Amino acid sequence: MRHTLSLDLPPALDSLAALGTQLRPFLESHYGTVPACYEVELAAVELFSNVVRHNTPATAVRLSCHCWARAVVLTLRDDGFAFDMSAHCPAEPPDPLQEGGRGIWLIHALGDRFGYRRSHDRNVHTFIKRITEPATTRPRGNAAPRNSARH
Amino acid sequence: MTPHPISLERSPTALTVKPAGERLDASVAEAFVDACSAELEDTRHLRIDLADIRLLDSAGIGALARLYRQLGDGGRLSLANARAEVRTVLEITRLDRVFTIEPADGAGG
Repeated sequence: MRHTLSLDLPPALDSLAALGTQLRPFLESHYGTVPACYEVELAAVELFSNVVRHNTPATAVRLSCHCWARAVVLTLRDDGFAFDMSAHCPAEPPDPLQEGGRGIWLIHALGDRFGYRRSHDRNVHTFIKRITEPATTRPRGNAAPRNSARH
Repeated sequence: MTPHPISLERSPTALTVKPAGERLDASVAEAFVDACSAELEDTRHLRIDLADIRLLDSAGIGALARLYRQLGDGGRLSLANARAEVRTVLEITRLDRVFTIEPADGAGG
Protein backbone atom coordinates (compact mmCIF):
# COMPACT_ATOMS: atom_id res chain seq x y z
CA MET A 1 0.00 0.00 0.00
CA ARG A 2 1.23 3.46 -0.84
CA HIS A 3 0.65 6.66 1.14
CA THR A 4 1.16 10.00 -0.50
CA LEU A 5 1.72 13.56 0.66
CA SER A 6 1.62 16.33 -1.91
CA LEU A 7 2.72 19.88 -1.19
CA ASP A 8 2.65 22.91 -3.45
CA LEU A 9 5.41 25.15 -2.16
CA PRO A 10 5.97 28.74 -3.26
CA PRO A 11 9.37 28.92 -5.02
CA ALA A 12 11.23 30.70 -2.21
CA LEU A 13 13.58 29.51 0.50
CA ASP A 14 11.08 30.68 3.09
CA SER A 15 9.04 27.61 2.13
CA LEU A 16 11.59 25.31 3.76
CA ALA A 17 9.96 25.67 7.17
CA ALA A 18 6.57 24.58 5.80
CA LEU A 19 8.21 21.67 4.03
CA GLY A 20 9.77 20.40 7.25
CA THR A 21 6.69 21.00 9.34
CA GLN A 22 4.62 18.74 7.12
CA LEU A 23 7.02 16.21 5.66
CA ARG A 24 8.69 14.88 8.81
CA PRO A 25 5.44 14.14 10.72
CA PHE A 26 4.10 12.43 7.61
CA LEU A 27 7.17 10.20 7.32
CA GLU A 28 7.25 9.41 11.02
CA SER A 29 3.56 8.53 11.01
CA HIS A 30 4.44 5.66 8.66
CA TYR A 31 7.89 4.54 9.71
CA GLY A 32 8.23 5.73 13.29
CA THR A 33 11.21 7.72 14.46
CA VAL A 34 14.00 6.28 12.37
CA PRO A 35 17.08 8.07 10.99
CA ALA A 36 15.80 7.57 7.46
CA CYS A 37 12.99 10.06 8.11
CA TYR A 38 15.54 12.76 8.88
CA GLU A 39 17.60 11.81 5.86
CA VAL A 40 14.59 12.00 3.54
CA GLU A 41 13.62 15.39 4.99
CA LEU A 42 17.17 16.62 4.49
CA ALA A 43 17.23 15.37 0.91
CA ALA A 44 13.92 17.14 0.26
CA VAL A 45 15.34 20.36 1.71
CA GLU A 46 18.44 20.10 -0.48
CA LEU A 47 16.37 19.28 -3.57
CA PHE A 48 13.98 22.14 -3.00
CA SER A 49 16.76 24.64 -2.24
CA ASN A 50 18.62 23.68 -5.40
CA VAL A 51 15.49 23.87 -7.51
CA VAL A 52 14.75 27.37 -6.21
CA ARG A 53 18.32 28.57 -6.76
CA HIS A 54 19.24 26.86 -10.03
CA ASN A 55 15.99 26.22 -11.89
CA THR A 56 14.36 29.46 -10.66
CA PRO A 57 10.77 28.31 -11.12
CA ALA A 58 8.04 30.89 -11.59
CA THR A 59 5.23 28.96 -9.95
CA ALA A 60 4.82 26.62 -7.01
CA VAL A 61 7.07 23.57 -6.74
CA ARG A 62 5.08 20.35 -6.34
CA LEU A 63 6.66 17.99 -3.83
CA SER A 64 5.19 14.51 -3.71
CA CYS A 65 6.26 11.98 -1.12
CA HIS A 66 5.19 8.37 -1.62
CA CYS A 67 5.71 6.06 1.33
CA TRP A 68 5.93 2.36 0.51
CA ALA A 69 6.59 -0.39 2.97
CA ARG A 70 10.33 -0.43 2.26
CA ALA A 71 11.07 2.75 0.35
CA VAL A 72 10.30 6.44 0.12
CA VAL A 73 9.99 8.09 -3.28
CA LEU A 74 10.27 11.88 -3.39
CA THR A 75 9.35 13.72 -6.56
CA LEU A 76 9.79 17.44 -7.16
CA ARG A 77 8.24 19.07 -10.20
CA ASP A 78 9.00 22.65 -11.21
CA ASP A 79 8.53 24.87 -14.24
CA GLY A 80 12.01 26.41 -14.11
CA PHE A 81 14.94 26.18 -16.47
CA ALA A 82 16.02 22.68 -17.42
CA PHE A 83 18.77 21.63 -15.05
CA ASP A 84 19.73 18.06 -14.28
CA MET A 85 21.00 18.12 -10.73
CA SER A 86 21.55 14.39 -10.72
CA ALA A 87 24.24 14.78 -13.40
CA HIS A 88 26.23 17.31 -11.37
CA CYS A 89 27.37 15.20 -8.47
CA PRO A 90 31.02 15.74 -7.52
CA ALA A 91 33.02 12.53 -7.81
CA GLU A 92 34.71 13.17 -4.48
CA PRO A 93 33.23 14.40 -1.21
CA PRO A 94 33.57 18.20 -1.05
CA ASP A 95 36.32 19.75 1.03
CA PRO A 96 34.95 19.99 4.58
CA LEU A 97 35.67 23.71 4.68
CA GLN A 98 34.16 24.49 1.31
CA GLU A 99 31.33 26.96 1.86
CA GLY A 100 29.06 25.77 -0.94
CA GLY A 101 28.63 23.07 -3.53
CA ARG A 102 27.85 20.11 -1.29
CA GLY A 103 24.06 20.02 -1.59
CA ILE A 104 23.87 17.78 -4.66
CA TRP A 105 26.59 15.55 -3.30
CA LEU A 106 24.61 15.24 -0.08
CA ILE A 107 21.44 14.22 -1.95
CA HIS A 108 23.37 11.41 -3.61
CA ALA A 109 24.94 10.38 -0.31
CA LEU A 110 21.59 10.23 1.49
CA GLY A 111 19.64 8.22 -1.06
CA ASP A 112 19.71 5.04 -3.09
CA ARG A 113 18.69 6.56 -6.40
CA PHE A 114 18.49 10.11 -7.73
CA GLY A 115 17.20 10.84 -11.21
CA TYR A 116 15.94 13.58 -13.49
CA ARG A 117 13.76 13.93 -16.54
CA ARG A 118 12.09 16.73 -18.42
CA SER A 119 8.39 16.25 -18.94
CA HIS A 120 5.79 18.67 -20.37
CA ASP A 121 8.15 21.62 -19.94
CA ARG A 122 8.71 20.77 -16.31
CA ASN A 123 11.72 19.43 -14.44
CA VAL A 124 11.01 16.20 -12.61
CA HIS A 125 13.53 15.18 -9.93
CA THR A 126 13.14 11.81 -8.28
CA PHE A 127 14.86 10.67 -5.10
CA ILE A 128 14.46 7.15 -3.71
CA LYS A 129 15.53 5.90 -0.31
CA ARG A 130 15.10 2.38 0.96
CA ILE A 131 13.79 2.01 4.49
CA THR A 132 15.66 -0.72 6.27
CA GLU A 133 15.72 0.20 9.94
CA PRO A 134 13.17 -1.02 12.43
CA ALA A 135 11.16 1.77 13.97
CA THR A 136 12.61 3.10 17.22
CA THR A 137 9.20 4.23 18.39
CA ARG A 138 5.74 3.20 17.34
CA PRO A 139 4.35 5.05 14.35
CA ARG A 140 1.92 7.70 15.44
CA GLY A 141 -0.93 6.36 13.38
CA ASN A 142 -2.06 7.61 10.01
CA ALA A 143 -3.34 11.07 10.89
CA ALA A 144 -3.55 12.96 7.63
CA PRO A 145 -1.31 16.03 7.31
CA ARG A 146 -3.09 19.23 6.46
CA ASN A 147 -2.04 19.38 2.84
CA SER A 148 -3.71 16.85 0.51
CA ALA A 149 -2.46 13.55 1.87
CA ARG A 150 -3.98 10.52 0.17
CA HIS A 151 -4.13 7.14 1.88
CA MET B 1 18.91 41.30 5.37
CA THR B 2 17.78 41.03 8.98
CA PRO B 3 20.32 39.11 11.10
CA HIS B 4 19.10 35.77 12.37
CA PRO B 5 18.22 35.93 16.09
CA ILE B 6 20.93 34.47 18.30
CA SER B 7 21.67 34.41 22.00
CA LEU B 8 25.20 35.05 23.21
CA GLU B 9 27.31 34.06 26.17
CA ARG B 10 30.84 35.35 26.55
CA SER B 11 33.43 33.74 28.77
CA PRO B 12 37.10 34.69 29.08
CA THR B 13 37.98 31.93 26.65
CA ALA B 14 35.06 31.54 24.28
CA LEU B 15 32.01 33.08 22.71
CA THR B 16 28.99 30.78 22.76
CA VAL B 17 26.27 31.41 20.22
CA LYS B 18 22.88 29.74 20.20
CA PRO B 19 20.80 30.19 17.06
CA ALA B 20 17.06 30.66 17.44
CA GLY B 21 14.68 28.22 15.84
CA GLU B 22 14.92 24.55 14.95
CA ARG B 23 16.58 24.84 11.56
CA LEU B 24 19.93 26.00 10.27
CA ASP B 25 19.10 25.78 6.60
CA ALA B 26 19.28 27.79 3.40
CA SER B 27 16.51 30.11 4.53
CA VAL B 28 18.49 31.40 7.54
CA ALA B 29 22.16 30.47 6.96
CA GLU B 30 23.32 33.79 5.56
CA ALA B 31 21.51 35.81 8.20
CA PHE B 32 23.01 33.55 10.87
CA VAL B 33 26.53 34.23 9.59
CA ASP B 34 25.81 37.96 9.58
CA ALA B 35 24.56 37.86 13.16
CA CYS B 36 27.59 35.90 14.38
CA SER B 37 30.13 37.89 12.38
CA ALA B 38 28.96 41.08 14.04
CA GLU B 39 29.87 39.62 17.44
CA LEU B 40 33.15 37.86 16.69
CA GLU B 41 35.55 40.79 17.30
CA ASP B 42 38.78 39.10 18.42
CA THR B 43 37.13 35.79 19.33
CA ARG B 44 39.46 32.82 18.95
CA HIS B 45 37.11 30.12 20.18
CA LEU B 46 33.56 30.12 18.90
CA ARG B 47 31.12 27.64 20.39
CA ILE B 48 27.80 27.08 18.65
CA ASP B 49 25.10 25.52 20.76
CA LEU B 50 22.96 23.35 18.49
CA ALA B 51 20.64 22.05 21.21
CA ASP B 52 17.52 23.37 19.49
CA ILE B 53 18.61 22.64 15.94
CA ARG B 54 16.59 19.83 14.42
CA LEU B 55 17.79 20.20 10.85
CA LEU B 56 21.20 21.21 9.52
CA ASP B 57 21.49 21.34 5.73
CA SER B 58 24.36 22.04 3.35
CA ALA B 59 23.79 25.80 3.58
CA GLY B 60 23.99 25.59 7.37
CA ILE B 61 27.17 23.57 7.07
CA GLY B 62 28.53 26.19 4.69
CA ALA B 63 27.71 28.84 7.28
CA LEU B 64 29.73 26.97 9.91
CA ALA B 65 32.66 26.68 7.50
CA ARG B 66 32.49 30.39 6.78
CA LEU B 67 32.50 31.30 10.47
CA TYR B 68 35.44 28.99 11.04
CA ARG B 69 37.39 30.79 8.33
CA GLN B 70 36.55 34.13 9.93
CA LEU B 71 38.23 33.03 13.15
CA GLY B 72 41.52 32.98 11.26
CA ASP B 73 44.65 30.97 11.90
CA GLY B 74 44.57 29.24 15.25
CA GLY B 75 40.84 29.78 15.63
CA ARG B 76 38.66 27.02 17.01
CA LEU B 77 35.02 26.24 16.36
CA SER B 78 33.15 23.87 18.65
CA LEU B 79 29.67 22.46 18.22
CA ALA B 80 27.82 21.72 21.43
CA ASN B 81 24.70 19.66 22.11
CA ALA B 82 24.24 18.45 18.55
CA ARG B 83 21.48 15.86 18.13
CA ALA B 84 22.40 12.46 16.80
CA GLU B 85 20.92 13.16 13.38
CA VAL B 86 22.81 16.45 13.10
CA ARG B 87 26.00 14.64 14.11
CA THR B 88 25.40 12.15 11.33
CA VAL B 89 25.36 14.95 8.77
CA LEU B 90 28.57 16.38 10.24
CA GLU B 91 30.17 12.95 9.88
CA ILE B 92 28.95 12.42 6.30
CA THR B 93 30.36 15.78 5.29
CA ARG B 94 33.55 15.19 7.33
CA LEU B 95 33.08 18.38 9.33
CA ASP B 96 33.64 16.32 12.45
CA ARG B 97 37.31 16.19 11.42
CA VAL B 98 37.61 19.97 11.44
CA PHE B 99 35.35 21.14 14.24
CA THR B 100 35.32 20.03 17.84
CA ILE B 101 32.12 18.11 18.49
CA GLU B 102 31.41 18.39 22.19
CA PRO B 103 29.50 15.64 23.93
CA ALA B 104 25.95 16.52 24.96
CA ASP B 105 25.94 18.91 27.91
CA GLY B 106 29.65 19.50 27.36
CA ALA B 107 31.06 22.41 29.27
CA GLY B 108 33.48 23.51 26.58
CA GLY B 109 35.20 26.86 26.92
